[in-house]
Amino acid sequence: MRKVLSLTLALVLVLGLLSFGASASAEDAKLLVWVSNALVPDTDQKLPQEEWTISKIATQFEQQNPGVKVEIVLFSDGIAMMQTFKAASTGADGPDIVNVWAGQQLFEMKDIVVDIKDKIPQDDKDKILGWDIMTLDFTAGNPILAYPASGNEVCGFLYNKQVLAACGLDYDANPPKTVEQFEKDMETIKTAGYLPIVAGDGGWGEALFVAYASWWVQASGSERVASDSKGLTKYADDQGFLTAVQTGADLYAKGYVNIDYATIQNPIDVFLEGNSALIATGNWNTSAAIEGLGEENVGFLNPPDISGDVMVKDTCIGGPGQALVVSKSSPNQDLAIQFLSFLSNKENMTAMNKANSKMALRTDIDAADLGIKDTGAFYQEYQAAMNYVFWADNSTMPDVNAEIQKQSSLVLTGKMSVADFAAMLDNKAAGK
Amino acid sequence: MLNSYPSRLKRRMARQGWLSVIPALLVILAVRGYPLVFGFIKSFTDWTGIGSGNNVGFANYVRILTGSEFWTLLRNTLIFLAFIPIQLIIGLLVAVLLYEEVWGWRFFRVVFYIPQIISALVIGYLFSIFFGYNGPINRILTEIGLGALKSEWLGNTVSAVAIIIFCLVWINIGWQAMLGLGGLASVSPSVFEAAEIDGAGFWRRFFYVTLPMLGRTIEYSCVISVIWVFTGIFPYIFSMTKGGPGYDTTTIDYMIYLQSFGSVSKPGYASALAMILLVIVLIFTVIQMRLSNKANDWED
Repeated sequence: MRKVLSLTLALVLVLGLLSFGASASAEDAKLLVWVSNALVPDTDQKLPQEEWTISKIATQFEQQNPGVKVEIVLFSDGIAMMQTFKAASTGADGPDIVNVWAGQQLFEMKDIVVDIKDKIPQDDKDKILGWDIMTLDFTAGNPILAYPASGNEVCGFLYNKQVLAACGLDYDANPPKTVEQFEKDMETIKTAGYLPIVAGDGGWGEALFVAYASWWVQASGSERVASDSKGLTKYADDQGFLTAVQTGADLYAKGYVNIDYATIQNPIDVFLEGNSALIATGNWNTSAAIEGLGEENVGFLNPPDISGDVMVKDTCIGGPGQALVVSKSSPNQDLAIQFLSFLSNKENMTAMNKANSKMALRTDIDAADLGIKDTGAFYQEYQAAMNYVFWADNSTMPDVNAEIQKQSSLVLTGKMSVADFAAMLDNKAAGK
Repeated sequence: MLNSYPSRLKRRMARQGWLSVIPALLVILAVRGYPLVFGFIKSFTDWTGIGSGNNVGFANYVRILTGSEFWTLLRNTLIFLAFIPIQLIIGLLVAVLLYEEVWGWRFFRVVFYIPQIISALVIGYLFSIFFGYNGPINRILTEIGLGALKSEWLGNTVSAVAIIIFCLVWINIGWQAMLGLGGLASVSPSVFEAAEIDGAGFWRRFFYVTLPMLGRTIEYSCVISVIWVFTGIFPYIFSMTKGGPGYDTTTIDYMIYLQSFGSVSKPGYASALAMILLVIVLIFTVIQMRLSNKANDWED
C-alpha cells in the first residue's frame, strides 16, 4: 500500500513538473513591452487599451505567432520609465522591449541592451530611416542599439494663416528665407497688435530645442553639438551655438515672444485662441492646431536659415527622437526583434504614424499613404521631414543637457548673458 | 530571594516590552533601514542605475561640498524655512480662536484644514495658474487699475520665493491650528480664566500665557516643519516653478530627484546628496530640541 502511495505521489510530482514546464515554456513566449506616450498618442489613450493602435498591432503579431503573448505597458513618465528599466534590467521580471530616448540616453544603456546590428532584416535596414541615430556614438560600424520608433518628429513653427493675413503676410506663398526677414515680419505682426510667437520652456527648454536649435545644428553640425557636451570642444567657441541662442534671446528682448516664456503652462492655448501668429512646437501639436483653427488656417514653417553659409540649408529639427531597445535580460531576444520588425513594417508604421500625426520613418511610405493632401501643414511637415537635422538635446550628454534644460529660460529671457551660459555649460561639460 | 523578585519582574517586563516592539522595529528596519544602508553604500560609488557602480571613495561628497551648486540649494532651503514662524503665529492664533469658539468656528476649522487634504501637485498647479502671467492675480490688478504691477510672478526670483513661502504657510495653517488646539486642550482652562480675571487682554493672554503653555507643541511643530522643508516640499516646487528661475527655487530634495530620476541618471551622486541632507536634518533637529529643552526648563 505504501509502495502504491509512493508511486502515485511520484507520478503526481512528475506530472506536476511536466505541466509546470509546459506552462513555463508558454510563459517564455511572452513579450513585455514598456512604452511611453510617444507610442500611445493622446487620442489612443482615450480608448480602452485593446483599441490602442500598438495594441492592435500586438494582437496581429500574436495571431501570426501562436503561443506568443505581447503585453504593452504604458508609462506616462518616459524619463522615469528609462530609470526603472535600468533598475529592472538585471532582474528576471524586467521588460523585453523598452521605449527609450534616442541619442545619448540610448548610448548610456549600451551595457544592458542587445546589439541588433547583425539581426536586423535587410529589408528593414534598407527601408527604415534613422539607423545612423541608433548606432552607438553615431559612428558607422558601431553596434546598433535600437529600432527607430514613433516617427519622424519635425519641429519648427506652426502659423495661423488668419492672423498672418490680418498682418498682410502670407507664409504659404512667401515664407521668410532669412532671419532678418523673419524678424521684420515679427515686427509687423507686433505692430498689428498680435503676439508674434508663443513659446514655452516647459521645464526642458522647449523653444530652444524645437526651434532655435535648428540654427545651431545647421551651422555647427550634430558632431559639434555632441563634442561640446563631452568637453572636447567649447560652447564658448561654438559660433553656431552662440548665434542661435543670442537670436532666440533677441526675439524675446524685442517683444516677439510671450513675456511669460519661462513659466507659461500651455502655450498651445494662446495659439488656438488666435492670440499669436506662430507657435514654436513640433508636429505633435499639428492635429490639435488643425482641429482648433481649421485645416485651411494652419501652416508649418521651418526656422529660416541663420546665415547663407550653413552646413544644412532649409532645415528643421527632427528625426526619430524615440527608440525601441531589446533588453539583454530578455529570454526572447530574437522574438523581440521579430516583433520590432513587425511593428515597423510598412502597414503598421503607417497605422502608427496616422495615429500620432508624425512623419514616417520608412522610405516606402509617402504622403498619400499617410492620408496627407498636397497642401496644408501636414504636407509642409512631410516635406520638411526630408531634410531634418537631428535633435540637439538627444545629441548632448545628459549632464549638460540637464543644465541646458534648467538654465536656458534664463538666457532666453535676458536674465543671463549668452557668454555666461556658454561658460557655465563648458564647466559642466568639463565635470566641474 | 525576596529582593530579586522586583528585578526579575523588571526583566520580564522589559522582555515583554521588547517582544512587543520587535515586529514593528523589524518592519521599520526593513522599510527605512535597508534603503538608508543601501543609499549610504551607493553614495561612495559612481552608480548610474546600471550594475553596481565603481567605488569612488569620497569623490561624490567632495564634489558636492566643493561645488557652488550645493550651497545654492542649501541657501534656497534655508530661505524656505522662513515660512515656519509665520505658520506658527497664524496657526496658533487660529487655534486660540477655535479654542474660544468664536462665531463660525466649526466652519472655519474645516476650511483651514482643507489644504491639508488636497494633493500637493494640485495645489502647486493651482498656484501656478493663479500667479501665471495671464492668471487671476494679474487680471485683478489690471481690472482695479494697477496694471503696472502686473508681473511674471513665478519667473522672478524674489516673487517666486515669496509665493512658495505663502503657499507653504497656506497649506500648513490648518495643521498648525489643529496641533495648537490639541495642545490647548491639555492645558487647564482655569489658567486662561485666571489670566482673564487678572485683566489680561487677548494679545497678552496669547503671548504671555498661551505661547509658553504650548512650548512642547511648538517644539514638535518646529521639528516636523523643518524636516518637512528639507524633505517634503519637492512636489510643490516641482509643480509651481520646476526649481526655477534657474536654480533659484531648487532645493536639495529636488536636486536628489533630478539626479536620480531626471534626464541625468546619477543615483550614486544623488545618494551622497541624500546622506548630506540626512546629516543636515539631524543637526537641525538636535539643535532645535536642545534649544527647546532649555526654553521649557520651567516645566520641570
